[in-house]
Amino acid sequence: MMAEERPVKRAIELTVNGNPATVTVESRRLLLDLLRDDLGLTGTHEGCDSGVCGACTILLDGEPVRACLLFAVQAAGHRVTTIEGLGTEEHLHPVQAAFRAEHGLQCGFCTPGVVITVVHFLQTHPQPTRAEIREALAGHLCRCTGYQFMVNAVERAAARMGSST
Amino acid sequence: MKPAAFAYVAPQTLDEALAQLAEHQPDARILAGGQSLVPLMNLRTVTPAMLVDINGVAELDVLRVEDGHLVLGALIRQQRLATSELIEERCPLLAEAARRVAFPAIRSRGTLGGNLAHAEPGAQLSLVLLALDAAVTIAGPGRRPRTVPVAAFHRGPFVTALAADELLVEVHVPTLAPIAGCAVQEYRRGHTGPPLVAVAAVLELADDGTIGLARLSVTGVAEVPLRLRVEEADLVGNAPTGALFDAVAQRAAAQVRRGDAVLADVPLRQRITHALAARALAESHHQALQRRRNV
Repeated sequence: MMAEERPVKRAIELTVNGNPATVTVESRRLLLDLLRDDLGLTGTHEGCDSGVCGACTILLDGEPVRACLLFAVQAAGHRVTTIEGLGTEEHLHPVQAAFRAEHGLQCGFCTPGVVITVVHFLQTHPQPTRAEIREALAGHLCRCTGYQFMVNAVERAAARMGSST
Repeated sequence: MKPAAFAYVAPQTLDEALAQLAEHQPDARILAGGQSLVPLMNLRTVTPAMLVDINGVAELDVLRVEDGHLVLGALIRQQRLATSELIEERCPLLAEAARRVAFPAIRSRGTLGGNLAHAEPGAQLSLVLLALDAAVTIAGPGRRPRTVPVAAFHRGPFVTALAADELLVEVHVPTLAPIAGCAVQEYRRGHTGPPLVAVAAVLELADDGTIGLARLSVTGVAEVPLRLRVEEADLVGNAPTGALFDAVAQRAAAQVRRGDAVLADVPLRQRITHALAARALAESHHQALQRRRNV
C-alpha cells in the first residue's frame, strides 16, 4: 500500500451556520469530526460511522446528509447547517419547540439529527400524514422514545409553522 | 474507527479522472456519493491509498431524453431519480426503485453510477434497470467508451464488468409507454440496507385486454439479479388473471438458486419470490388498467 509518511494537510474554507470557517485538515478527516472537534459544534453526534443511525445528520447546501460519510475537504466552498444553526436556548426553532412540548426526546442523542431531517422534510411536506412522518423518520435510530411522541411533535410543528405563513 | 490516511484529488473532467485512476492503480478508488465506500473506509474494511473525487466532473451529471431513451449520468443523485418529474413520466419504475433506496440523507449524496458499480446484492436500481433493458456506458483511459447491457454488467455479489481503471459514465434506459403499469415488491429484514429479496414487474395491456408486454426481474435469489424472460413469455398474449399471475410467480420461485442458513434458505426465498412476484404482477396490472383509463 502506497501510504504517505506524513499525511498532507490542506486548508479548506466553508460556511458553517452562516459563518465562514477556515480549517486545516487531512483528507481523511470526516466532516463530522471537523464540526465536533475542530469547530466545537458538538450538537452533531457520532453513532455508527456508517450512515445508518442518523445521529450525524446535517444540512449541506440545504440538503440532509450524513456528516460521517463526507470528508471535510468535500465541504470546502459549501454551506453547512448544524443543529446549532437552527435555534438557540433563547430562540428555539419551531421544530425544537414542538419536540419539547410533545416530549419527542428523552436522552436527546438522536434528536439533533432528527430535527435537521424534520426541518428539511417540512419544507417539502408542509401538511404531512402520520405515515409520511414515520417514513421520514425511518433513517433515524432512537432507543428511547418509541417514535410516537416524535410523530406527534412533527405534526405539532407542521401545524404551527403552517399557521404562521 | 476512522479511515486510514489517503491521498485525495478532485478532477474536474472525465479525462483527468481516468488519468488519475490509471496512474495510481491498484490503490486508487473513485469517490462519488461515498454512501457505500465511506462506511467501508470508516471500518477500514477497505484502505485505498488514493481517492479520486469525481463529484466535480459536471459531464457525468446529465439527464435527458434521446431517441426514446433516458440518458442518465453516473453522478445523478438517487434523490433526483426519486423526485424527477421527467423520470416519473417516462420511466416510473426507476423512480419507484429510487424512492426505496435507503433514506433521504443517503439519497441526497448516493449516486446512480456508484450504486450500480458497488453491486450490492438486493440493490433496487440494478433490479429495475435489468427489467428495463438498460445499458451502461463505461469509459477507460485512452480508449473509446464501451456499452454493456445491465444483464452482462453484474457478474456476482459486489462484482461488475468494470475494470480497475474504468469508470461508469452513463446509463441508457428505454422509456416506458404511458400505459405501462409497474411495481416493485420487497422483502426486508429491518429497514437498513437493501431488501433480502425483491421483484420488479412491468405490464402493458393490449387493446384486446390481454397482456401486450411483460417484464419481470428478481434479486436476492442468485449470484446476480435475474431477468425472468421465460416467465415473461408465459404472460404475453394471455388474459391478465390472478390464476395466471400465481402460476407465473410459482415458476419464478423455481429460479431461486441461492440461499443461506442464517437469513433465508432456498425454500424460504422460493416462498418469498412466489409471494412478491404475484403481488408485483397484480400491482402492475392494476396500475396498467388505471393508466389506460387515464389516456
